[in-house]
Amino acid sequence: MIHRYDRLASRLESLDRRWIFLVLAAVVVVSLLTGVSTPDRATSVVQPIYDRIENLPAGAPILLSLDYSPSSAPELEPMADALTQHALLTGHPICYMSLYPTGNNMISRVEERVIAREFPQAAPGRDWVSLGFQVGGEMLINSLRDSLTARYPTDVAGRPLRQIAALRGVRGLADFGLIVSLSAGQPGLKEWILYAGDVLDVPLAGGCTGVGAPQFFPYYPLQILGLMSALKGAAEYEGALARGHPEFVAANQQATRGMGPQSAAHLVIVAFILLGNAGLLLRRLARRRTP
Amino acid sequence: MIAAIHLSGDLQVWIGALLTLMVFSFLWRDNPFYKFAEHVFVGVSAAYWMVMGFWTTLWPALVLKLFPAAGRWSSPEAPVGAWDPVALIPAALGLLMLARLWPRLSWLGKWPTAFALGTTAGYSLVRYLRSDFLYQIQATIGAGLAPTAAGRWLWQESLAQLLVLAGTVSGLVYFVNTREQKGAYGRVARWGLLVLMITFGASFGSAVMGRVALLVGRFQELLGPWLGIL
Repeated sequence: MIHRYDRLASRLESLDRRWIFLVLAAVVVVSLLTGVSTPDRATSVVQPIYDRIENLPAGAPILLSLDYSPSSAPELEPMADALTQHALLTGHPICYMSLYPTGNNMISRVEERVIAREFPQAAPGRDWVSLGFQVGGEMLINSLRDSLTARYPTDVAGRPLRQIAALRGVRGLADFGLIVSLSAGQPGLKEWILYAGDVLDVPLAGGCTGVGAPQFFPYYPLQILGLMSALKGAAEYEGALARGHPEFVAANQQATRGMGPQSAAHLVIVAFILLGNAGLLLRRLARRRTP
Repeated sequence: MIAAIHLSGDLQVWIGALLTLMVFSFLWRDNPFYKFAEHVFVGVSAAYWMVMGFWTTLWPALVLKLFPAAGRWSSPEAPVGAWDPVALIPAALGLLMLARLWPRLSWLGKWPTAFALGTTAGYSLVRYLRSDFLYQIQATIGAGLAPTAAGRWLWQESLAQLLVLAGTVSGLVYFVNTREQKGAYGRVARWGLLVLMITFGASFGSAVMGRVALLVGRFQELLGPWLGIL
C-alpha cells in the first residue's frame, strides 16, 4: 500500500509538462470548435462604463486611446470593438488615438472590422475620427489637456481638426464626455490617470490586460469610474451591450466566444494544480507510514 | 458541428499561422523553427520601431522644424511651417547621447541622460505624490468605516472598507523590520503576510487569465482565418 502511494506520487511529480500543454491545447481547440460560451453579466466595476456612455448628453464625444500592440490585441481588441459599437449605437462620436507606435494599425483594424461592417452608414469625420499615434506618452497627454491641436494639427487623413464635425466644441481633453484607455502597459492607463484623470474634471475609464489588472484595481472607484480586465471584462461589456441593446446583433462577440475556452482552460489548470498537490500529499502519507 | 477545412489563400494569414506554429514548437523543445521565428520577430520589431521612430519623432519634431521646406516632399498638401531654432536644443542633446559610442567622449553622454532624468523626475514627482500616495490614502480611509446613504448604514461597504484598511495596515506591519514580530504584533504581521499571499495569488490568477486569452486568440486565428473551420 505504501509502495503504491509512493509510486503514484512519483508519477504525478515527474509528469512531463508537455502533457499539460497538450491537454490545455486540446481543451481550448475542442471548446472553440464546439462553440461553448459562458455569457457574462457586467460586474460593478464594468457596469459604470456602460452606464456612463448610456447617460452621456446627446452627441458628446468619447476619446478612445488604443494603447496596445498586436501582442495584447486578443485581450483588448474586443473592448475596443464593444465600446465602438456602443458609442455608434448611442450616437456619440468617437475620437481614436494611441500612445503606442502600433496604434494606427490597431485603430484601422477596429475601423475595418466594426465600423465598416456593422455601421456602414457611419461617416469618417462626423461619427468618428482617428488622430493616430503621436510620440511622447505622458508628455503627449499633458500637452493635449489644453489643446488637441497642439500635437494633432490634423487627423491621420490630413484633415485639419477644426473642420472635423466629430470634434466640434472640443478644445482639450476636458471637453470629452468620457476618456477610455485600453492599456497593455506603459504608456497607458496609468499615465492617463496621472496626467489627465486626476488633473482634469473628466471621467476616465480603462481596460487592461490580465497581467496589468492588479495594478489598476486600487484606482477604482476614486480615480477611474470603471475597469475592464482582460477577456473577462470585455465579455462583461459585451453582455451589458447585448442586454441593453437587444436590437443590435454584433457580427462577432469575440470576448463572449473566447470565454468558453478560457473557462475550460482554467478548469484544466485547476485540475493539474489539484493533481500536483495530491502527489505531494501522497508522498507525505507514504513517508509517514514508512516504518 | 465542425465545418470542413477551407485553407486560406491569403499569404499574410499563412505567414502568421506558420510563425505561430513555429513559436508553439518551443513547448516541445528548442528547435531551429523556433529560433527562426524568434529572430524574425526581433528583427521585424527593431526595424518597425526604427522606421516609426524616424517618421513620427525625428522627422516632424526635428527635421521639419529645422528645415521646414522638407515638408513639401513628405506632405505636399500640408502648409509649410516656420523655422524653429528651439529644436536645436534637443538635436544637440541627442548628438551628445551618441557620444557614448566613443570611449574618450562618453562622459558627454551623461548630460542628456541627466537632463532627461531630472526633468522627468521633477515633473512626475507631484503627479505620483498626488495620484499614488494622497489619493490612495483617501481611497483607503477617506470614505470612513461606517458609510451611510439616505440615513441607512451600508454594512457591505463598511465591511469592505474595514477589510481594505486592515489589509493595508497589516501588510505595512509585515514590512517593518525594526521590531521583532512576536505576540500581538507578530499576529498582525502574519495576517499581513496572508493578505500579501492572497494578493499574489490573485495577481497570478489574473496573469494566467491573460496568457490563456492570448492562447485562445492564437487558436481563433489558426482555426478561423487559416483553416476556415470556425
